[in-house]
Amino acid sequence: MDIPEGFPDMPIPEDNQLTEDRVALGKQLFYDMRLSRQSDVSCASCHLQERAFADQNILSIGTQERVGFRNVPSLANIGYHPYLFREGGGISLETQVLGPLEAEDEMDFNMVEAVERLSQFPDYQEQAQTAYGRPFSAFVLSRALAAFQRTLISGNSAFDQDQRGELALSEAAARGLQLFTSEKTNCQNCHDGFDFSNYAFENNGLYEQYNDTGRSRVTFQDSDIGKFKVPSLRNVALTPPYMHDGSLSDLESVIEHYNTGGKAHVNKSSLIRPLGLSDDEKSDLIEFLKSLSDNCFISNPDFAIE
Amino acid sequence: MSIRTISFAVLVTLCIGLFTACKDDDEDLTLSLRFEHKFGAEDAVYGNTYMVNGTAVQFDLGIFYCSVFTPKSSSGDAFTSFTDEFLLVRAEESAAYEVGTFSGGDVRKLGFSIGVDSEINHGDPANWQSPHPLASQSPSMYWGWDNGYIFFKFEGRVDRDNDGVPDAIMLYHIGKDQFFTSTEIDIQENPVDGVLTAVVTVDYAKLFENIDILEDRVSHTGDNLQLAADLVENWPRMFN
Repeated sequence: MDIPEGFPDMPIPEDNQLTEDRVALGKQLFYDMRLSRQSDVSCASCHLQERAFADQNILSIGTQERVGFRNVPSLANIGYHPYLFREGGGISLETQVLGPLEAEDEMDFNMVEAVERLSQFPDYQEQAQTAYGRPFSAFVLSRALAAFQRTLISGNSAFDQDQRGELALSEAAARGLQLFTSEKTNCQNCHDGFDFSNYAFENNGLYEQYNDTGRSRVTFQDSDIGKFKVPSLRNVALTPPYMHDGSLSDLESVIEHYNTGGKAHVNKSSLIRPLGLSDDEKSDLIEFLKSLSDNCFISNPDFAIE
Repeated sequence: MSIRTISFAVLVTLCIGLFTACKDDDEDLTLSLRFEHKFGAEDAVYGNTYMVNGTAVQFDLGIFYCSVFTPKSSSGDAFTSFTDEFLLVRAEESAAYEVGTFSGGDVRKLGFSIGVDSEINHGDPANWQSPHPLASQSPSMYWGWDNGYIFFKFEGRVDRDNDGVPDAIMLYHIGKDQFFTSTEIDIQENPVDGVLTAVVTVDYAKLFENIDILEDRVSHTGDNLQLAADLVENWPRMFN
């Protein structure tokens, strides 16, 4: 696995160190619709490579066209996330597999039944033995999917090339970068580091009343109502619509949301306040965000199935 | 008979008495649990309807985890504690579950917990190989979106419109660390051939004490935390 310059080493569990066999098995599973009860959706049905492993829908569309309650997050650099899902209830990529697999509005299946089904196929049995030295099982299924997802590293955008001195950002994008890191916007306070996220849980003032209470679903704390994991901004221009519920259709709407300071909520981050951005500044910020798109990532044949 | 001979005979007698007493107290016992699932006085059977405080309730599913089994004497002294044994008790199964063997005596109480401790709770089911109770299950006993085991599942239907037909869904899926609950029951049974098979009666009707089953019909724990807490308060009453 090639780690881009400026990226830290990825934490990988002892029992799931990456090998070509494990990643190849995980990729096959990622694209296999038989992982859903009706064999009509796979992981890749919602996590499209051309969308940086997110999709274009407002809310996720699962088996039998069932509409979920969240916008699909990108899987770019997901191996670096300290916890999974927007409220952070997933403790590892391995256990996270159970979430979409068993959710009624996603794959609506069951791990035991999925293993029973896929165990019937000799190629999966063979690959399980090769990759993990054991028959196909929940252990193999969850670890292989996690192994593949850890390879989904995106770090070759125009911004990265600029940082490496290979290519200069456009003037507008460079101005946008300056604004992004300035105290005027404080964007970088949350969207920080190599992955443009501090992975904290924040309420960004999207609503006065939250139907989806976010982090408090896990902690049961009122102080966590309306808080969601700060998303990475890598490939953000490829992943509209935005926010946990897909309620903002484009980057212009997102910038406008932050420029107005959002709606009043007791848990809203103190950093969310009116910014007073001019039209030119908004445009520059969007140009910078577009510079985070990684065309190599979305066209890398290693991530695609033949 | 010399004093020496008499002393020797007394010593031998004492030793025999002592060893016999030790054998009784320290006999290896295998603890086994057999669960009897009830709705009041009736056997709890999936698909059957029972009256709970004048309301018809259909029983469709009852599954729960038990752990930390602690056989005790009548005075409450623990003989041992099985902290690495876990049972997934299903209402449709009547087989006895073997917990383990210990060096014990007259077991008159049994402490155990409903659920699993926090360390196990946040582990990965895939690390356990089927048919281990902590392995993946069907129906699932683990939350994939908020990783942790579901300690207790009750599913059924309730007659909400009083027409005698239970038609409104009841669904209680309870987990999370704060609801890991200990309880204790009296043991009436005696060991047979080194096996103490304790019969644990589970009365699902008691789950609904002080619960408005017409209104409080669904809790996945977090979405109705108060109802989850009220149900958990009733867990110890369910077992005897």
